[in-house]
Amino acid sequence: MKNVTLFALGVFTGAVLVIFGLGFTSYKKPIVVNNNQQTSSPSASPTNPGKPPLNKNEVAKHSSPSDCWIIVKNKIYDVTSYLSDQHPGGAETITPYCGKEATNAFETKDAGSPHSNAAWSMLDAYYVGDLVI
Amino acid sequence: MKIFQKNNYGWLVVLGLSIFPVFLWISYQTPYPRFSNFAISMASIGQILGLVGTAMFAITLILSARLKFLEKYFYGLNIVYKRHNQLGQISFILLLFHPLFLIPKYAGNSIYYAAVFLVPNGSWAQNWGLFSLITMILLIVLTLYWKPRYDIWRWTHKFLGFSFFLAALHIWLIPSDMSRYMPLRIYMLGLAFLALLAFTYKTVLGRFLVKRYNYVITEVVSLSRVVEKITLEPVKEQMKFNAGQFVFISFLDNNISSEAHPFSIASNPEEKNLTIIAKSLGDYTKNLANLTVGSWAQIEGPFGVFSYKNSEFKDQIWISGGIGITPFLSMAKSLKLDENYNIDLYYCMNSKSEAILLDELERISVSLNNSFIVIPYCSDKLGFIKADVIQKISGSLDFKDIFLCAPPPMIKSLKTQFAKKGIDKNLLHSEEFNF
Repeated sequence: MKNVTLFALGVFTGAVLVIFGLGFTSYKKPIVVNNNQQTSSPSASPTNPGKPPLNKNEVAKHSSPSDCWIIVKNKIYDVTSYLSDQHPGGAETITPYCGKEATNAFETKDAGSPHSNAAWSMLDAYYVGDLVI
Repeated sequence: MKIFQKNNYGWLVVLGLSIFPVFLWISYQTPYPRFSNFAISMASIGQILGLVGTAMFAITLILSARLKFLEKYFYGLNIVYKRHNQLGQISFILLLFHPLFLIPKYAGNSIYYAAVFLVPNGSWAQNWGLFSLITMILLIVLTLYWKPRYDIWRWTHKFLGFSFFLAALHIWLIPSDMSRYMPLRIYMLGLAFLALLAFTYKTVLGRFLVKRYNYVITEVVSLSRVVEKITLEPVKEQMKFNAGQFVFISFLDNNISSEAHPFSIASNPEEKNLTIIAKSLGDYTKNLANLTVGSWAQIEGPFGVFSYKNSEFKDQIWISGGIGITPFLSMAKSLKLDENYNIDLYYCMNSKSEAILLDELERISVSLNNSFIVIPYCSDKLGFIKADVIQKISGSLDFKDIFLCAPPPMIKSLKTQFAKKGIDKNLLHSEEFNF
């Protein structure tokens, strides 16, 4: 049995070394590609000229779990595709904020504890545009 | 069916308790499917690894607390320790892969986030898990592969209880199905609580809580250059035991370390005094000869289910190797004529000079009208004893229970030979003598 354990430990160590080696040497934040096969997920799009202004009214139109935009620090994010059980806190902690201002919720998780740096970086991938006041 | 032998009952319960959280996890209706894509499927497996691994870690801790009731379900304390060792390793392997399987979901497709996920960060719930795993890795490597001197090993091994405490913090705080689904939460935290309770009882507060009998040394005799016989008298309460059982003794004597070690009892349960006979094999036992009359000892026990009364038949074959003769001496002394046992004891040693107890055993044989006979067998003249030889001397091996107490390789070899002759495994009883 000890040899099996040693082998598992070896595999684990190898995997961790590879991840650290590749991960920490690639400092530029890579683009997160959403690989869910869910049907209608509007993909993140940069600022959109010639379309309705991205103000609070516009955001409020995307206020359901199947079409969910949130506002964090005056930036708008389309987190629809993230809702399909990727969120460690569960989708139901996000959905109350669909179509709404969510800065405080994101900053505190509604519990006084902040999101990690990794989480903030991941949010970037869902950026739609800046909030127009 | 073979797996329902009495030996395996405890092990099956352990496996059941470890896998039960998976059923709870499955019964939880999540809004989104658990295996819809690669990342989510990997995370689901990761969750299962964490749940089963932690449950096993908890039970491993419970098995280490030397609880007497467990002996019934594992058929002896040495088996309990064997399962503790196996379960600890299985839980370790599962927990190693728990964080790795979570990476695809929590890091997206970014190798950078994967690396970030594996280091301490702002989430303390996650950090406790990380620290638990790191301490577990260090301590398991120390326990299984580095293997320092016994007293250092023992002291460091206890810190795995602390690793488990960190794991318990992790499962208590982490937002996941563990926090959202009450039945699962109650089960896992309940198991964790029992584990920490067992650890506290045995390791943290053991000095005060574990029952120990106070005895005082009345005699120290060298039976040979390497074998010591030590007799102890109870200070107040006498420990009751069955012939064939063993105890853990800590000697409170300046000439020896006070750490507890296991010893088979060589005396008759009906005597007031307790006698142990031990070989000076290592760092600790070499100091046995220096024990002083009048110094105290604390005795924890009795343990072991190795007893001629735990048998199907009264016709029995006893096979001892080296110092393994000790429990048989106790058993021989407690045999009574009117109980009608018929015993052939094979007293195996390397050479005749090691037959320190032969005279005493032959006297017992006479007093029992030869219903109990001793067959000395020296490997320097006759080679290692074989099942064929035993069959020739004792006649048919059918309808007899066979008891073995010897170094593990000897037991293993004889068991294999007996199996080849078709002897029922339930009739083979052994106590491995290398704890």
